[in-house]
Amino acid sequence: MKTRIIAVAGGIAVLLVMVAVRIVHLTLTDSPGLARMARQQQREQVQISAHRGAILDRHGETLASSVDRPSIFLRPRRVTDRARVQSALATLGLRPQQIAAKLGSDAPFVWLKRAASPRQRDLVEALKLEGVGDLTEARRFYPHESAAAHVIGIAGVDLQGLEGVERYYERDLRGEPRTLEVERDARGREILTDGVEAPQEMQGASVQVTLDLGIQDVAERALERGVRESRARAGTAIVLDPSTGELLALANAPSFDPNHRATASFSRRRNRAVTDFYEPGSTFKPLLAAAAIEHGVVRPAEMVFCENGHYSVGKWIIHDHGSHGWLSVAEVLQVSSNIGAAKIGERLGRERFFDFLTALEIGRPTGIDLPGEVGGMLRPLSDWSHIALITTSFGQGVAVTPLQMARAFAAIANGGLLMKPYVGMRAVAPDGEVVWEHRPTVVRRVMRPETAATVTTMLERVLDEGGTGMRARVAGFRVAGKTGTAQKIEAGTGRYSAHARIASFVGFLPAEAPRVVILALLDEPETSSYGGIVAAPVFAEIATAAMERLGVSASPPPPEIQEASVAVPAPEPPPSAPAGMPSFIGLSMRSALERARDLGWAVRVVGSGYVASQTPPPGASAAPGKALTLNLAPTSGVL
Amino acid sequence: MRQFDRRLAYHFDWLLVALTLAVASVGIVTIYSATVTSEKGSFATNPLVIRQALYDGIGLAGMVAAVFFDYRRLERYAYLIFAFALVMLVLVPVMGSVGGGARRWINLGVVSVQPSEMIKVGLVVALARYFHRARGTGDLRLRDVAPAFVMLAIPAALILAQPDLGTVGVVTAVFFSILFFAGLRLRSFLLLAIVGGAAVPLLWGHLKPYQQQRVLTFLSPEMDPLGAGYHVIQSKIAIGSGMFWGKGYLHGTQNKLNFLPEQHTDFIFSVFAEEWGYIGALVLIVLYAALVLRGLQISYRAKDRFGSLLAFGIVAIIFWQVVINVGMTSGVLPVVGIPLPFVSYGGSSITSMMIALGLVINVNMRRFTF
Repeated sequence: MKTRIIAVAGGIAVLLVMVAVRIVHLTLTDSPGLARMARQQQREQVQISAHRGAILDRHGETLASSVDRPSIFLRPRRVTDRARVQSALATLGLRPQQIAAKLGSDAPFVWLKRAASPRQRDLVEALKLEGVGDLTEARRFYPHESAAAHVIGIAGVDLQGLEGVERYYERDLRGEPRTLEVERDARGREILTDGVEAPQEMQGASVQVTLDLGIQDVAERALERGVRESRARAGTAIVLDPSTGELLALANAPSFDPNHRATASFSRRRNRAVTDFYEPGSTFKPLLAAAAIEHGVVRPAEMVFCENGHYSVGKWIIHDHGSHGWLSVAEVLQVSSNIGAAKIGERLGRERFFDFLTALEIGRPTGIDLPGEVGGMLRPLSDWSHIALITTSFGQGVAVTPLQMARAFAAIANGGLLMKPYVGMRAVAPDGEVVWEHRPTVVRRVMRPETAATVTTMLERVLDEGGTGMRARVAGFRVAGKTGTAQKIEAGTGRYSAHARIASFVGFLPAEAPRVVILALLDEPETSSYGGIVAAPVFAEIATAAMERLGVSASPPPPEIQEASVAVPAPEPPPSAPAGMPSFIGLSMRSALERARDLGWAVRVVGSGYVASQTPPPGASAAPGKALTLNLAPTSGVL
Repeated sequence: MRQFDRRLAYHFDWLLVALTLAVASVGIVTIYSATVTSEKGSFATNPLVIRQALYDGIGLAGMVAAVFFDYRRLERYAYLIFAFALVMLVLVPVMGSVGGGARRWINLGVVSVQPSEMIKVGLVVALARYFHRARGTGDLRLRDVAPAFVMLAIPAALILAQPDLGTVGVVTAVFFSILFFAGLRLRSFLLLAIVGGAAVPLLWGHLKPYQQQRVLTFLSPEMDPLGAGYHVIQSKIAIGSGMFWGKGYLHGTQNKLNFLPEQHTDFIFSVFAEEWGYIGALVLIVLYAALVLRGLQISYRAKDRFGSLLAFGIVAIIFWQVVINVGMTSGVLPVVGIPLPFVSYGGSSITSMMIALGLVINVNMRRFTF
């Protein structure tokens, strides 16, 4: 027995050692794999979407924001005290049968009340009912209702951007959905452990847009009135800052209230300013004039014979609205002579005209940060017949979007630079960090400043007595602009419609130092088809308010409007000293320095290449000490 | 008489008591971790912790009570005790209550008792008496031990009927340990092994489907990870993911997220090993080893053959339960419902094992008395 007890002790020792070895196996040898299995089954990645960021106008006015609404839900299987739940939930305004039906539901999760009031939420929370819970849902709210609806766009039910800025800057607004690791128990229930932020603390960035709500409001009201009074089908108004390409206002009629998505038909929601194209008609003539003057083909005072209203080109006959004999180039624009434009186009030639329009990116998307932009149409050079050259000269056979047209005029207004239009100014993260900021982008120089100044002077005459744009006049300001009346092409036949017209006016002011380019367009006006009659007043109304809103002081009396000054443009545009800073943007370093020296400025140069921006900016009231900083960038770079 | 008492007190085995208390403390602490949730509140208000502490207290009282008489008087009542335990066992199918798919408990109003826990000690006492009277070491023949087989067979059949395969296993293992210790010829063991091997297919047919399933699962748990093998795999994950130092007390994720089955009873070792790691598990096994080896030493030194057999048998119960429990939680033995002595939650197991340890101390104390 004594020997056996020793054997037993040995046996016991061996077995215990085996158990210990097994534990070593599990905890040391196999443990990495087993630990991974533990993590796999216990951890789960859950995405929590962030609170959607707001959209603000350039002055910080809220255009779109997310509002939190409490919602109350039920987990039927977790309810322990049905009677209590039943009676307590009657306070939510649910009928007893409804509650009973929901309580009896097989689903693990049912909504009891979405968009409940905070008081109802507090009530439910206070009761601490097993199986009843609440969570915060966000809803998109547009405080200014239909204001800037086409630019802001819409966010859908799940707060995803569907249109406009909401869609274009979806990633910034939505924010990074956080991926949280949550613990999961054996029944698959998620257990949020410590370190989880409340969804409200996770916000998407807010996006500030270049729109000025004040100008936007006026643009919408003026457009709405223009559409109503002319009984037009639709209309578009655009206000651009020519020196930067910033979109200050964009209005379409008819419009919609993004708060009531269901009532907004697709045609109301369409942002016609970028999604529709049209034949620009006479508003295209200033582009022709700019090309012709840029290439030295004509001078403003040069006389063109306008064939007394009938000009035969092959089998075609070109008509004017009136019968004109000899007109100066400036007068061709002033009275909008098609024949005069045709003759200037013939002198310019298709290649130079085509190249000029290509440089202006006519018929191509502007690249604005809005979804759905289309290009329009500029026929390829190989398709330019003689008649095509002639019709294009007065804006037929070419299709543009309203935004392209406004941008082309901005290039004239700012001294010859094609700017990239944009609407997104900056995105700011909730912690105040700037995610991105857009600066003006010069696409390229399309004409010399002198050319631009000359065309501007000519466009001022459009509003003079005898011009087509008299109704676009703005008291106290020198305005440059051009009317346009284009025939619409019938959808079915592909022919020009007998009566359907698009009436438009594009212009800018103050002419001596333009602050805004404004386009007003009416689609199929009935009272009159002429841009000078129906669209010009819309322009004038927006322009008047914009000048006031921007605090632009009235123009000084025009220095010379005699033929002579137009005929022989100065090598440098008039410095217009009292109006403010001249623009150096787009000039080479050498020419900028020469020009600045001539004007008596002390210049500091940063960088190399071409002038991309300047301090003080163009049009600003002259800085004391005449100190000027020019920021240069290689070619037409992005800033 | 006074002098006699002082000598007794001198030989009171404080080491054994200290080891028992240490292991029982591990039990209470781990039961808290295994059952605590936000609703169940703090340590002192956790109902399971309070009850386990109560069982430990009752067990300690029983342990102390078990040293106040000469264990040799137990020999006279050995069969009586065994018979009483058997009666309790018989009562289970008659008036027992069901838990976990088996009928194992008898409700005595205030408490429920598990007679299968008592029968272990009862059988050991009875066998100690039987082999005390049997012949000397190493030359017991099978026919000498046949009555002992009957003593095993009756309770084993009753427990199997509950059904409680694990306890049958423990009882059988204890029985054969005592058989070996008492001196059955090795030749006879060999014969038993052959007969037993032949009987396996027969036995298999008598197992309930879920019992067969458990054995199959044991053989390859990964075959059915979400079904029968689930418990084993989860338990292995818990122990293994504890790694060297463990996840920390109250931080066992397998435990907290309810991946472990029977956290505070049969699988409490997994909870403990997950939170205290390799180090904790090793310390616990060393504590058990010390307890068992100390018990063996007492058995070795015991004054008479009855005391030696008694101490040995009790130590065998503890030892086999530890081996089977740790073996099943670590995936080397099939999952059978065996508690980890002094650690798993449960009154019957705690009190009966503590009283039994009292008897071991009793044997130790009286090794010099006559």
